Amino acid sequence: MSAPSRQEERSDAFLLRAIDYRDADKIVTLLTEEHGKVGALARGARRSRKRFGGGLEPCHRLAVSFTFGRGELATLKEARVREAYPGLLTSLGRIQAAGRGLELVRRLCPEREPMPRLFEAVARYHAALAASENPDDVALAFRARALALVGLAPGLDACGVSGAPCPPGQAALFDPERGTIVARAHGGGPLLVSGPTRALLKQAMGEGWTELEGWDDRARKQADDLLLALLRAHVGEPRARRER
Amino acid sequence: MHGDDGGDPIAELVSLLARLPSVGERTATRLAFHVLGGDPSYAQALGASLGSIHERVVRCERCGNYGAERVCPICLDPRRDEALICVVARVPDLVAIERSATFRGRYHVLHGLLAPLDGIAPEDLPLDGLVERVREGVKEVIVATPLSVEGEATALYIAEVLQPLEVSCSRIASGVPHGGELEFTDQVTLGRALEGRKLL
Repeated sequence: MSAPSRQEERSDAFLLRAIDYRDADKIVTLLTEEHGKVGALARGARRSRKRFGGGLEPCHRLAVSFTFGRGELATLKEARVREAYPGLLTSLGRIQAAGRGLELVRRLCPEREPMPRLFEAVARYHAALAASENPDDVALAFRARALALVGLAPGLDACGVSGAPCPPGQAALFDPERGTIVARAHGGGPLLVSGPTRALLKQAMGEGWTELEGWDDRARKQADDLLLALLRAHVGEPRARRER
Repeated sequence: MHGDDGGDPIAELVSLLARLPSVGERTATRLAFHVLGGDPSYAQALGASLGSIHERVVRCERCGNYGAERVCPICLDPRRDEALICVVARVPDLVAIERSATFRGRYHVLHGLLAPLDGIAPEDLPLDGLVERVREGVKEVIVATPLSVEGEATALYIAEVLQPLEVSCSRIASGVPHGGELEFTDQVTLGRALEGRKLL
C-alpha cells in the first residue's frame, strides 16, 4: 500500500534565510502568510530553474508551495517571485536594512505559528524601504512595530511597578528586563527615554509606522538602544555570523 | 578519524569520496573500486596529488586566483589588458568567464560576498587589494558578482568604495538567457532585461 500523498500548501512568503545543503539543495526559512515561520528543504534548489528560478532570494515577495512531513522540515516544491521591489536593490543601505529586518523576524517568530499581521508588516517594510531615502529610520520603525506585533511592545505609558501614568512629553527610565518604564522611586531603569522618543516609539508600534518622520539623532539613538536592549533581554543575542 | 568505518580501508575511502560535491554513496563506492582495481601507480599519484594540493596551490598575491606561483599566469600574461579588471566572487566564476573567451583583461577574486541575511557586512569584505590595483592605473572595473541579492549588495559596495577613485565601474548585464523563451522567464529577470535594453 502506498503512503497517502501529503497535502500541498500554497502561500505567499518571504525568505528569511537560505543555507546551501549537500550538492544541490538548500534549507530555507520562510515567513509564510498562512503558516508563519516554516523551515523547508528545497531539493535541487541550486539547479532547478524551472521550480525555483530566481525565487529563492530575499527581498522579494514569493509564491511558494510546500508539503509538511513528519520531520521538522517541510519540503519546498516550488517558489516564484510574486512581487519584486526593484528600488530596494539599488542601494546598499536599503539591502542591509532589509537583511537586518528579516533577521529580526527570524529571531522573533516561533515555528509554524501564523502571524498574518507580521507578514503584512514585512511586506510593507519591503515596499517602504524600496522608496525610502532613510532606510535606517524605516528599519528602526519596523523593529518597534515587529516587537509590538509579537507581544514584546515596550511599556512606555506608565510605571511598570506602580502603574502610575507617565505624562506625555516627560522623560522616563526604561528597564529592558521588565520591558517597561519604571519610576525612579521604584528603582528606575538603565535607559533614559525622552518624551519625544517615547512618542515616536509609540507611533512606530502603531499602524502608521511607515510614514513616521521626525527622528533626530538623539531620539534615534535612544530608540535604537532601547529596542536592542529589549531584544537582548527577551529574545537573546543575534546568532553567530555564517562562516565564509 | 573520518567516520565509523571500523578500520575498513575501503569503507574509509568511500566515506571520504562521498564528501566531495556531486558524489553520493553509490558513486563513491564505484570510484573506490575503480581505483582499487586499477594500476596501483595511479592510486599513488592521485593520493600524492590530493595530499599536496594545499601546499602546491596558492592564491595569487595580485588577484586572488589559484595558481602554482605567487603570481598567477593571467596576471603575468602581457597580452592581457592591465587597465581592465573583472571582479568575481569565486575562482569558478573566473573560470566560467575565461571559458567565454570574450574577456581579455585581468581579474580580482573576492572569495566571498556581502550577505545581508547572514550579517556579513562591508567590514568583512576587505577591498584594499582592489583599491590598490585601481590606484595603479586601472581604467575600468567590471563587477561580475552573481545576479542575486548578495551579488547586488556586493556590487553596490564596490561601486561605493571605488567612486572617489575616478575609475569607470560597470556591472555585467543580466536578462533572458540565450535561447530562452520570454513567456517562461521570471518577472525579475525580465524586468532587468528591459531595464538593461540597448539601442539597435
